[in-house]
Amino acid sequence: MREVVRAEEGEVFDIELEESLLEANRRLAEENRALLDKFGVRAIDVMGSVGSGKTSLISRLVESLRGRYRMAYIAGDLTTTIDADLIAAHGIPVVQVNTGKECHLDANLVAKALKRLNLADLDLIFIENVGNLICPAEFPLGSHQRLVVVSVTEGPYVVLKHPYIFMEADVAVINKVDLAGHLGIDLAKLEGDLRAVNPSIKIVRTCCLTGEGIGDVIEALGL
Amino acid sequence: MHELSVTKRLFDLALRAALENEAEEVREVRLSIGRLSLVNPDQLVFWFRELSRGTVLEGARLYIELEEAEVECPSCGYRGPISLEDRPEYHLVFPTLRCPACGHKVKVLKGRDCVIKSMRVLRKK
Repeated sequence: MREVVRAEEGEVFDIELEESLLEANRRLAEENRALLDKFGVRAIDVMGSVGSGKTSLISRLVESLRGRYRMAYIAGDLTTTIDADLIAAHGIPVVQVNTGKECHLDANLVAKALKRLNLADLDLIFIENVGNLICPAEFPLGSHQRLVVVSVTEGPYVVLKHPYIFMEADVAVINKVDLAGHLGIDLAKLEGDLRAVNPSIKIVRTCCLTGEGIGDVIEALGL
Repeated sequence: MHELSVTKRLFDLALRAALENEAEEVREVRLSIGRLSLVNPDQLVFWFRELSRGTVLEGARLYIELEEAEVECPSCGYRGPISLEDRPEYHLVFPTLRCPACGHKVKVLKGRDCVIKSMRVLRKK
């Protein structure tokens, strides 16, 4: 075997960087929060899987809170405006954010959306994240609270399979509880899993189709 | 899932540092990925290779160190590794924010981030 040692022509040296790849988003999230606080607006980030009932929940909340808060809605969606149209029917300001192919909203997109709203005329903003139980956990938006909607149709192991998003959340809403019996889902066990991951998470059972539990969500959010 | 966007940021930071330091070639890039971060190291390496083609970063070796998650309990003062809970019936181990000492919710101190630590570059004399 022949070994070859080549002389270095240049100079090899180390560059210290220590730069965070997630820090830029966090900084923007803090700016969003400062902007919201300046206008006294509270923002709630609503996360959850595709089809878990995020839009239905927000629709119910807007209906129930009408007259008490001046509300707006930021809808994150890959391509469509279906959700935005649904909430716009309540007559509140709506900003649609199409993320294209991105799997989550980030603080920069939310900053752009906030520019489209007249914050002085608002008290409360619902931000609906992209339907996904993984990525949004890593990208704070500057919201005051984070809520995850999880429906019984997602199966009995959904919480333990996706612990990270529940670690980041203040409130977990278990939706479609009317179907739990049909699907053989043990709600108490699902709640136990949520508490196992995050002992301080507030848990509410809902059926957004009928409006069951919406009052409890409002209470859990302190609204 | 968002490895491409995170890797793009890594790539941009590394490329900028390489150009600022007049590097002809980047030999090594050292990263630290927190255990609680959702970035998958294998996917990150894949995207980094794709993005770096035809640049001074092409061929650079990526060294990834996994940062352990450290937590602190505001209630009892516990400070140390995050607890893991085992559910043998599902062959599943998952992290929990429950304090191993008192059960209160802990605060995460370390393990969430994804950091580019340093680079080793070759500069032409």
